[in-house]
Amino acid sequence: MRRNHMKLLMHQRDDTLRGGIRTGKYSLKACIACHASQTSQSVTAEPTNFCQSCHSYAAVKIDCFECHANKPAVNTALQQVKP
Amino acid sequence: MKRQNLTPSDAADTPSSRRGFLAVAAAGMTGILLAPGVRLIEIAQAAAAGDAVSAGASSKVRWGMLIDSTKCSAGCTDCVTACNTENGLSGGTLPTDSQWIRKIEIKEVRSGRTQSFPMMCQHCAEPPCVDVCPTGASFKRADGIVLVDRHRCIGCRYCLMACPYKARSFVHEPLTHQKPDVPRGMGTAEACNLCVYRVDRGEQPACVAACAAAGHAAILFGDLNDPASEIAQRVASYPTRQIRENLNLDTGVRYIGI
Repeated sequence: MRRNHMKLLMHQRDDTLRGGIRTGKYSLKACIACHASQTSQSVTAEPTNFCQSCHSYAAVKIDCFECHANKPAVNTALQQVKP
Repeated sequence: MKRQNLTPSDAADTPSSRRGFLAVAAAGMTGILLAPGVRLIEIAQAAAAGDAVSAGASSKVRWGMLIDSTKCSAGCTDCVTACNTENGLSGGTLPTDSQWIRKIEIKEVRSGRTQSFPMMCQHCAEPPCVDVCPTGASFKRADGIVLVDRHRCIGCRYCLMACPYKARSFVHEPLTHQKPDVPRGMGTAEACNLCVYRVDRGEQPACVAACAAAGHAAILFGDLNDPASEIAQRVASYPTRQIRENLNLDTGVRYIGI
């Protein structure tokens, strides 16, 4: 995955957008939902976050999150419970 | 030069923090609400939602809308508001602000009769935006929904020029805080996507739901190819119009009463 994720994501994004296949395996949203950091709630906001940790090490810029959300969806019903 | 000590294995969450996550998640399930745990539970729920089964777009389906302008209320903009909220649009009215749906008021000069109805991407069967797109970014899905593949869009804006309905917008400025379901970004064209991720989940587009919630139910959404669907039966039994019928685009969005 570490070596080939860019190829897999490239393939799956076409299946999702053009083919309408949105199961968890094909969903970038589902990737982010699990891999988001506990502290920043994001995969790219801090240098230690899931995507950014490798990408800053390899000095490769990520373009995905200029359009895609880098945080999972926030459930507003649960958010209201917060003190 | 000292290399930054940031190997992937170091950067990954430590086992202890992962245990902490599980403990907090378990605590949340037993009904104990912990302020820092709220977000974590949301993340776990989001992961579960991603496992919903989706068969993908089928060419047997042709999604369409039937908009009854006699039921549409002048001054009501619930569909526009719902679209902006659902897709994370600013709702601004500057020439550079994206607009996926808008309300149109038309008036017959002689009688003074006015009518109101929403306009958006008409999801043509023969879309001019697809014809002119130099990169293949503008495309029609198998089930008739016309979309922009932002991975391929180079922002040339030919589609904005080609669309006879002025349905397309261009994103001029950098965006932040996009919705997880609706990726949008600077330098790409965009338009009504018929809330494609909701349709794939088996739900109705946001504007249709908002119109029904407002009590007008002026927008009917469904499969034009399925003879048993309400929309196909109404299209077969009532006189409906496509806007700019003379262009022979065979639009997926049809109107009653205009």
